[in-house]
Amino acid sequence: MDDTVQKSDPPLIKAVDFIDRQISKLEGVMLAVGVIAMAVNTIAAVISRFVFNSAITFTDELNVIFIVVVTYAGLSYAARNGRHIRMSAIYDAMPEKMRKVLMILMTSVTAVFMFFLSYYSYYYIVEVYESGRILPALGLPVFYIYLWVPVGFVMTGLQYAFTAVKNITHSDVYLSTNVKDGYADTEIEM
Amino acid sequence: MENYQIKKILLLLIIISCLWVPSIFASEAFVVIEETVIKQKTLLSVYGYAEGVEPWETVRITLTDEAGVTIEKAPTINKIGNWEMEAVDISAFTDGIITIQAVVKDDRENIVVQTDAEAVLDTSFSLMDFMNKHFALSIFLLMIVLLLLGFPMKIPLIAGATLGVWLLYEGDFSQTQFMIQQMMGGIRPAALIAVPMFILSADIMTRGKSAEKLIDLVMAFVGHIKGGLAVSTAGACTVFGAVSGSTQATVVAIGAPLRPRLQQGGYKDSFILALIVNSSDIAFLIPPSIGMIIYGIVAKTSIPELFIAGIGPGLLILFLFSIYSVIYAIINDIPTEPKASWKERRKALLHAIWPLGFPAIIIGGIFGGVFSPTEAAAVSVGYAILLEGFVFKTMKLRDFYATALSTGLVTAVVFILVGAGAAFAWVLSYAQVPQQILGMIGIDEMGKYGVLFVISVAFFTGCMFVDPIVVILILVPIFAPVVNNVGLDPVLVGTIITLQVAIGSATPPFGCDIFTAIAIFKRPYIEVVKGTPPFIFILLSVAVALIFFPEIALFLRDVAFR
Repeated sequence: MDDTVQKSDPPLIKAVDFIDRQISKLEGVMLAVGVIAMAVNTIAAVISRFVFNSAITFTDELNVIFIVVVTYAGLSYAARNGRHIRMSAIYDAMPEKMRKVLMILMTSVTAVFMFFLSYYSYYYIVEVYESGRILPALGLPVFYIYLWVPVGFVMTGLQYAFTAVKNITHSDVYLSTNVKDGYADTEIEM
Repeated sequence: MENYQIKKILLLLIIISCLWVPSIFASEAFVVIEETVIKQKTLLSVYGYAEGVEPWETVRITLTDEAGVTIEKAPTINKIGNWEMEAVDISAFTDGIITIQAVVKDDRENIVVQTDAEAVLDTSFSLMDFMNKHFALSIFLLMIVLLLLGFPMKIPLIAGATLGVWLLYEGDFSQTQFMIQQMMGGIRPAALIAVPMFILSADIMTRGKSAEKLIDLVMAFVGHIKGGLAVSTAGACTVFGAVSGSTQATVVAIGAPLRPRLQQGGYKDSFILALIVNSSDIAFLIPPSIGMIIYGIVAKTSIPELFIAGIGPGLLILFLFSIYSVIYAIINDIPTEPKASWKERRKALLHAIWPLGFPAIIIGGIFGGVFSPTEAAAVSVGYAILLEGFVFKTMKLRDFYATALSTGLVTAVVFILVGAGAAFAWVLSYAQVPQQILGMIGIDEMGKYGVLFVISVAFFTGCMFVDPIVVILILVPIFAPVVNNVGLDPVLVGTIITLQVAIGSATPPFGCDIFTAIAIFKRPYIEVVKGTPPFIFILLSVAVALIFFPEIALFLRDVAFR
């Protein structure tokens, strides 16, 4: 991640950037801890089944919670780092000016969709909350699972919106707020 | 005494009601317009009923538009009093309110009873009507445009689903919650946990020393034959495939360390790149396979059976790639490597014995029915931590944290697609798009081979442009009904799909494995693509063989599960 905030930037941008970094750290922790928790939970289930000969009933329910947290924290984390899968062959072949226009269109449309989904996922949570359903083994209300979903969508929407703004205000083409476009500095790890 | 009075009152009531009832039937005739429908902006249908109409009385319907143009019809009333006026041509009418008057007249043209209703005619072009008429076409067109423009792949899926909801509920977005519900439901299946677990264990192994030891082992045994380095590469990809479930991970773990050695060995770079990219496809077939897990969940097919069925085709491809490598080495006169002594071989085997525990756990565990795929995944994670953390001591706690973070990231990128794909598939099936599309290509008359052929072509073509997981999520629900109807084995179909998906993603112009290779090896597009045709040809012939000799996949499955 390169340091993209210049000294000349106004204080508001710096403040937003600072908050963004903190959120990024938080999401990173959610991702890593979520995956570790999934692993511990699933391994524990195997041990319990084979060693103690009794299956843990709430394994699957816990895993659903972890999966949702990892997916929706990761949604925004991946957007920040420009890691979402896309078919960029045609885009890459375009001249830089076209790419910039296309990137602004792409990020703003994506941002709108993310805000749209966050709005309705909030209503979905309200619906689940009102239904009063409870996870049978854990005894927790089902809506707990989805609490991060609208937050994740809003965060992702903001990421794309910031990227659109950055593309408008800066001269280079940005894939995300942190990543400049192009293969040269893309680090691939699987 | 009281009793007698009540009886008297009751009797009186009965008599009065008897006098009343006929009077209702006789004089109180009425006519009701129940429903008016305008179809295709030119055909108006009116439905209604009438009661108390005597045989000499008739219903007349008068349609009047705002300009004063009128159409008159006299529908007949059936025995139970219903009348209908189907599809009257109103193309002469101008836009606006149409007044519909229903009048019951007797034989002397006296009006007995009448009623009014209104319908609004709007012949102006409506985008929604147009798209509703071409539902599937509009959605797919939107998705293809977004995809080709380079939108993140979740957006074509989400936009397609949203457009579908908008059309299905006629602009009422409040039903979007159902879409969210489907997105959440898509990532809920417990079997999906196997995906991050297999990614995590492969990630740990790639960062540690396990991959390297597996390469050394294969090299020690086949490195010395003609084209041995190339054969070893394909072999190492296959062995690593038994650890990792994805093509990209195999390209990184096996391709990256082996490419310099192949270059030193005298192979041309275009051959090396094609070999690495295509051999990594074997990893997609050899269990565990992320593609198969997703297929198994979407198609509700047994994942263990799919895993076992992938082994046969995977080994066949390895065999054919090895033959091609040997022929290539002979034609290009590639020097052979020195033969490893038995002492060296024993050493390599000893070193590799720990990593070889992975296939034992995963394939052995599933084959023997000891583990479910999710359990096998969890055990392989535990084993990877044990190996790299305590046996080889290559990783510290901090490294494991970084690995978990990168696994979480990859998982999220895949799972948001799984969720969006589920929402999209729900919209399609709700609008009965699969039936329409399959009916359009007349798949019912094709028979088993025809269906398999169509499926193969669809998945192969899809993966030339889009990520395999997206293709599986979109196309599997479309073909699911026909697979059931024709009576194909869903495990065979899953194996064929997994193979086609792997081939498609290594095929130019846009197969995503090509772009992974470009990004990892930093080589130009043309060089990565140049050497692929022979490999693609081999892969396609295996695909054809699989259609006509399903035993290649199903033999091991039958041994294990039947």
